[in-house]
Amino acid sequence: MSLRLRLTLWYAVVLAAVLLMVFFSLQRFLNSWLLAEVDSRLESYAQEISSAISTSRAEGGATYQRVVRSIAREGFGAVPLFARVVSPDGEMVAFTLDMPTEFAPPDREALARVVSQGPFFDTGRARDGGELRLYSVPLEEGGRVNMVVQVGESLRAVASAITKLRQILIVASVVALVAAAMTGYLLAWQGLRPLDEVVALAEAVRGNQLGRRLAKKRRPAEVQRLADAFHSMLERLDQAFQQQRRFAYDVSHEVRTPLTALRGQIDVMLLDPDLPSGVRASLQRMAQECSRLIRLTSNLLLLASQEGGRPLNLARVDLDDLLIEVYQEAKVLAQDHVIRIDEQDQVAVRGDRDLLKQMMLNLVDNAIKYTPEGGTVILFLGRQGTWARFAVQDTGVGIAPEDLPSIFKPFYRARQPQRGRGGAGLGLAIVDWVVHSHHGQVRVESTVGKGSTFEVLLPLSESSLQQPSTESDAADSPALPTP
Amino acid sequence: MPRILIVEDEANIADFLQRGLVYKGYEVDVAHDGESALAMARDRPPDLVVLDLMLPGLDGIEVCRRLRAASDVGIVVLTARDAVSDRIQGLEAGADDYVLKPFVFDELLARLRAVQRRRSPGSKDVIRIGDMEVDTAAREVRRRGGRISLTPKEYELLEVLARNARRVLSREAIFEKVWGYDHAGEADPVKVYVSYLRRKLGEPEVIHTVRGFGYVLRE
Repeated sequence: MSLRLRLTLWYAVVLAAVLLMVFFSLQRFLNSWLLAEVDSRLESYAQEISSAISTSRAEGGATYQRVVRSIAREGFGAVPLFARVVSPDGEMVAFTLDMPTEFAPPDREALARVVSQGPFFDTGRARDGGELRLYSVPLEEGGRVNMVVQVGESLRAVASAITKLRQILIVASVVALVAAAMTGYLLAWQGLRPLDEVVALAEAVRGNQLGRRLAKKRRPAEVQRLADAFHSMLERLDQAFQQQRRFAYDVSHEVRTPLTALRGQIDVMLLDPDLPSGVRASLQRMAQECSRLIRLTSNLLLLASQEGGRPLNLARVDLDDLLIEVYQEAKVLAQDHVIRIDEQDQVAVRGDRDLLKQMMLNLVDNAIKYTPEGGTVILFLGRQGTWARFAVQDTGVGIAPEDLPSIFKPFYRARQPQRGRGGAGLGLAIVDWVVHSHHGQVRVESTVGKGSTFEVLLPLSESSLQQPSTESDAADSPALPTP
Repeated sequence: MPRILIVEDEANIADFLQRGLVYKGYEVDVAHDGESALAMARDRPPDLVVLDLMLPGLDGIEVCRRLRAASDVGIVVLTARDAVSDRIQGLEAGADDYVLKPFVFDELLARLRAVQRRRSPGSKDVIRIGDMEVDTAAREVRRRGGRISLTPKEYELLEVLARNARRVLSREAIFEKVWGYDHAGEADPVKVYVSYLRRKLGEPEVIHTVRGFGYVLRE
């Protein structure tokens, strides 16, 4: 469950509990307050009737009924009240007009209690089902109770007031709960929103984009602390990356001159046709290892400068010329292999000549690396629609299907490197980068134990498009069919 | 015998360049800095210059600019893989081509040969073989009056054959002259490009195969 939802739920639960408490105490308070009012009214009414009866007795005149009716007729404010005078044995001697329907008949037990204990309040049930508040007062004559005055008031008004209050409270609570939950969610959302930015940045960070930072603005203190910590982590990462890049760059840069001299010296020695065959073979091995070192440093350098955002140096590149150059260099690498060109069309693309050459060499180097001695590496250069197609086919160990998706990642190497010939796993990553920066595609087809074919498609340059070579003819056909 | 001036401050690199180029039949001078290179180029004008752009003292780009201002010598610069701006500046300062360090000797040689061919193209005349004309000044080919459109490589191959018309050239010789490398190995671009040419030049056949050896151009 998200933090936002959880915060909102807790909000709502606490608020609901508080509202429930308020609801019940308010109801109780109102109930007892209204009852107290009713009681005080009843008291004064009973008082009035009692004193009127005493007065009329002293004057020796009117009957109970007349006294009661006269007071009832005068009324008692706007509140309907009922009264009756009952003898202790339950005989009703006087009552107000609507009496019989409202009051239950006098209850002997209650009367006995009045006689023995004095006045008391009681809540009973009226005939119509509503509640009644009843106040009974004993009337004394000559030192003994001879009559009981009972006054009453319907509690219907009280009940309806409480019902009203309950309704209002329920509606108000629901509205308050919904409003609180929404506000709570909104607040949580707003409070946590700055976190989303941090998350988005963390997700966007890549090896070459460590310079990105969050925009400066007001944030909650907690989030700001997180952002600051995150920034300083990025800073340290960036430094580490730069140091690593700098190191790779410096090393490759430094070894370049000695490598050039070493390779050149070997090349020049090999020019001598009179070399003893053992020396020649040994020199060729040295040239091969040198080539491999050159490949490695070139890849490292490119990777280091690529992450620094090296721009492409675009021009028309004749891939067939490049193919010959690549082939010449590959011959040195492929001393224990057969390497040949089975298709060479005249195709030109727009691109960075040096990068394209490095890409092609990396593919060839990779093919040689994973092909056992005596195996064959075949190069193809042709057209496919509006694409230039460069392919390298080998009879090597192949690539397991589970490795295929990862081979273009930097520093990736198949789980079981088949042969000692290492590599930093940079070659194919650079192939991938070069091809994609030239808006091309690279594909691999591979069967374990049989070999692989790497295929690169690059968009043909306009001039190449205008001069498509016709299909090859008879005996001198340059293009062997692609297997 | 073409003369080459090597301008390179790294002794070990200058050394193999010198020995290799001498072996390949060039006359070679070596300068280790810009000033002496300019002086040498004045005293003994070279046909080609191999110029390292990273020189102590006078900057390689500046040397290139001054050499170019003084003559139309062919210049190939040596530059670093990561120094793209150097490379572009070098070409803008008048260099004909560049080779990235670390380089393979054969590649430098091929570039030098290509630059040499472009810089001293030989006699600018029209070579006629039967009903075909190769106009080496305009780099155009006509047959029975109609102009034939060739790619640069196809033209270069045809010009090499035309300049040696009626003489049989080996595949290796053609490869060296057009692509600049000594040994074709298993790759045989000559065969491929000859087939392109034949298709474009049409009938009757002017390029004839000499089985197991090479080609000859004749009517």
